[in-house]
Amino acid sequence: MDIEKFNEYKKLTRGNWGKDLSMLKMMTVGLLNQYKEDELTPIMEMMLNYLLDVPKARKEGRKFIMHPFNYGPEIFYAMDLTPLMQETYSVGLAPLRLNEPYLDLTNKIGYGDNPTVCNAQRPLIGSYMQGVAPIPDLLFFLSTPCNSLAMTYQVFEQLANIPTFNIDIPYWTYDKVGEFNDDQVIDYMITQTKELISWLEQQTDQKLNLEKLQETMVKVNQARQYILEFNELLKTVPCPVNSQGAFGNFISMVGCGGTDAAVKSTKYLRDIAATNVKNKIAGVPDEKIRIAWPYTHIFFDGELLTWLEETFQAVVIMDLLGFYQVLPHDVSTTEKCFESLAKGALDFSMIGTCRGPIEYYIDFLLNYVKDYKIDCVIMPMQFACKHAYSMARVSSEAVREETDVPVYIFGCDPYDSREVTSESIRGGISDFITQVVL
Amino acid sequence: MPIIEEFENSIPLMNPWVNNWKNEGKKVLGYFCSYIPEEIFHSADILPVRMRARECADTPMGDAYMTPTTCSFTRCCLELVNRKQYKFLDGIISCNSCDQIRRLYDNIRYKAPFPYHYIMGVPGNVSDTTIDWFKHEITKLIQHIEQNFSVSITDEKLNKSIKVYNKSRTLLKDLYMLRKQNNPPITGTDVMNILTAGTSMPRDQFNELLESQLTQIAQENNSIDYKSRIMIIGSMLDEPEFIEIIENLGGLVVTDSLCLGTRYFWDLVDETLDPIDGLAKRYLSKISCPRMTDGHQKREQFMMDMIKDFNVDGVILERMKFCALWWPEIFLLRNKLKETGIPSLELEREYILSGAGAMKTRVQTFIEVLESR
Amino acid sequence: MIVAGCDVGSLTGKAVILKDGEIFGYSIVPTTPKPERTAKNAMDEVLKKVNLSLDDIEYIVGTGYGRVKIPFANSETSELTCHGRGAHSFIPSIRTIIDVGGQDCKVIKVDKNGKILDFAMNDKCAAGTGRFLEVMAKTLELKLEELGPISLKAKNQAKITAQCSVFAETEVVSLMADGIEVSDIVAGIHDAIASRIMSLVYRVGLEEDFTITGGVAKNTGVVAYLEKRIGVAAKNLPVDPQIVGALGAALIAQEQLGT
Repeated sequence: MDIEKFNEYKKLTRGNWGKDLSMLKMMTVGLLNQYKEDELTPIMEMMLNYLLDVPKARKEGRKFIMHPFNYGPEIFYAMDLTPLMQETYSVGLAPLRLNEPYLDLTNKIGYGDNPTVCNAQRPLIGSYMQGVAPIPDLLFFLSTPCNSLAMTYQVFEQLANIPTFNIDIPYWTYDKVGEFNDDQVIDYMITQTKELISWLEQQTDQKLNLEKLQETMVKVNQARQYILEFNELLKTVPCPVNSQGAFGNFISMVGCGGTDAAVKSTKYLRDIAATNVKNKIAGVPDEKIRIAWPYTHIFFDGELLTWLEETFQAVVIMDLLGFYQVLPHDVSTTEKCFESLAKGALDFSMIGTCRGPIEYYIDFLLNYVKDYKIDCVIMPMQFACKHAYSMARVSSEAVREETDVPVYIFGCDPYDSREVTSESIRGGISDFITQVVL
Repeated sequence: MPIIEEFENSIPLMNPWVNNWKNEGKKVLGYFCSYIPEEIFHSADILPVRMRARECADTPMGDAYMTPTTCSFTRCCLELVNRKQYKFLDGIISCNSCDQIRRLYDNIRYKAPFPYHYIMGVPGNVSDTTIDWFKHEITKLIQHIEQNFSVSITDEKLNKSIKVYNKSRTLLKDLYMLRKQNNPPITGTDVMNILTAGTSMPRDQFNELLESQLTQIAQENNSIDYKSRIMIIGSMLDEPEFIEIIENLGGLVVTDSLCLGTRYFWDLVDETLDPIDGLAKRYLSKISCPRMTDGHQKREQFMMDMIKDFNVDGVILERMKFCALWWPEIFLLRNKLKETGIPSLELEREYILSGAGAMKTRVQTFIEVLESR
Repeated sequence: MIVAGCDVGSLTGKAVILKDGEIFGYSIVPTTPKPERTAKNAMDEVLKKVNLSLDDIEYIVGTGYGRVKIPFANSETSELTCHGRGAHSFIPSIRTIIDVGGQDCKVIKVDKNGKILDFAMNDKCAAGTGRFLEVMAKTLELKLEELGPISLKAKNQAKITAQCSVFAETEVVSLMADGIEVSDIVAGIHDAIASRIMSLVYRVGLEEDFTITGGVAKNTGVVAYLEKRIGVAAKNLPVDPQIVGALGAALIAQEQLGT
């Protein structure tokens, strides 16, 4: 990217953002420092703009809404709201090892402990008590995929007294296949989506701009199309991108779904993958092992994936969140738009796989292993993530039965580097790969 | 004052009532949560039995499949199911109460399945939309039961069952009202025994026994001495011994907010509505547990009302270790209790009661604090 | 008026005799597997010291984990209540008592009369208790009483990160193998204990003045590291901190007689 733009960003972060935005500032600086000047890809640019949009909204008198990591921001953009995905902090601060002090502070005030409540949301409470969390004007959350998320957002709502809206995600799916389908699920979601919009209209004193919503959704669909192509390309052996690839798509759609930046960055990733496949270039040179990673990345260890690539020529195809599989839909009519939003909410990463019966997860995992020619599965389960860790063993048994691919499950904390250290994680993975896989 | 012997005998899951029921060739289904409308089973002449696992001493299989850092209630249930201790059940019915219960259902189906399983989706907040959805879920459950057990569940039958359960709720409330007195005639331990017995015996007979019990209480005119009046707030507490420890130290438990306690019976089904409407409305909007994301203010208000109405001196907040619903809820309640100057004690427990000595020290100190006020 | 308090703890048994409100004598004996025997040993020893017999004692209050098994006690009270009263009786300005015993750790908050307002206990985990120090002393082949003074000599405190004392032991062994100075390791251990104790303090909130009681209070290192974290010096009680519980029990015995 060009030096001028980069310096412009650096200047912006030194500006006076006010006490309640210093966390974002830290993250932005952290993000900038981690990337070499000439490597600021469209994804980085998108993230920086996304974060910088928050102080901008404050200055321009626009409202900003905080939402969880499993709901796209299309509606918020269509209502001229600035969205902020809450988990950006715990994920963004993790490689800077800045979660730990906020987790300690959260423990100190008596809100949960490891491993009762998920650490993806707990730093929010500690940082709020210290006065460094951005206080949104509006708060939105879903009842799934887990109790931790719902409870922490409620606690934040009560402590900071923020108007909040909640959507109940049903247990079932709309897929005709299998025993867990229910035709009426989409209607239920559409009703709730419309309720969300009414609530937003009340809170912002604006009407939903349907045209803008449709425009946003067209862009979402463009991005989704690129992502589906990208996902298809990842099936090639060798994988055309390295382990960092797929997560970028997730960030694009959750943070910026519906913006030009998201279209640009998803196209960017698709183009890299397509070019590499055409020229038979591997994302990891001499690729030997293809790993399925059906949970979140270990966020605090920014070098883990590179270590895997360098030590074992192993590539992590996709993590659970990066495995974004929402289909583009018909946005020709308003009703079709709402249907698309409803389906998107049900199929989003981790919601689609974890909100219902274990079959959703096992299906996803088995298809992942077969379609992507996976050599081994590594499941780094968060101790506090009850819904995921309690299905790890049964899922691994299903994988072994159907595919004979070895599975390694271990407990860890992706946000707190002190629970299970980098050394310990690498030791375990090394043992698994050297003794079981190779 | 001893409670009616039949209650004592009905506490284990496999008891004479369940035996008789099975001998008559009828079906017994285990269920997991107070959000599942029992009236549906009653109207199909199926006995619903609340799943408990008090006989579980250790959980090697539960630990392996659900990990040691999860709720011990679910691990104990999985363990006992795996050891075939629930062979007498014809199936289980669950709902998405919380993450652990959801995954317990999955683990049971894969590792120790029953002849019949069903899980219903219960919405996580209360509104016209979600009550509508809950009606739909209830309808689905009814259809599933009808298909799988060759029964017909008509509105008429449901209405009859609702009457029976409403009667139960009214009787239980009458029982609780007796505890408002200055010197209540019945201990919390005995009430817990009665409540637990009710979850594993036919509802009609339970009502009869409870009526006799209430008559007996009125006749004996007992009055219990104590040092302080305690309210217990928590989740799946079915261990009378837990309450006994508190009461032996002088803390008489006069009321509660528990899965098997007030949350089970406090609200009635509106009999003027169509039965499925009535069930959906009542079960979804009853006194809630923290799984209901919009219910905190109401729960807090309920607690404050109880403290006032039952003249509570101190609140004991108990939670299962690793429970992601109750610890945040207790965090919020704690602030309210501090604000209003109501003394409280927080106890963390495992489902299998152990470390009673440690619990006794804390409870005794708490009661000594209450006494010195 | 002659009364007594008897505290049957997990590592030691203590007895205190009060005569007309003053400490007449006290004893500290090692614990036996039977609490009745420990209580008797403690009582016998103190009676011998002051040349009295059990009949001379007008009221005895039992406390500690073995309190219900003391045959000669007239009543029993929780050790937190006793600790609170005992510590407060010496220095009425005390509002927080941090009691670090052999197998558990308690933080007690009292009001101006020494009555308990709030408390927090850790009795499930050895980290932050005397047991942790015992294990470490053995690993380092040092005497328990040497640990405190050695920790204060450290130039470069080592960091012990393990939350669990069992894993901390492994960590210490590898630090020793790496050739780290013993005093630095010991300092790290003391800081780790102070950290665990602090997490309990936070649950109750510290109000000054505070004091540290229990067997571990005799360890100058733990006291120093705790004071450093709290930022204020602890008030020192003019008696052996181990007997504070039994003393509090005796004071309660005095009150019971008075009523």
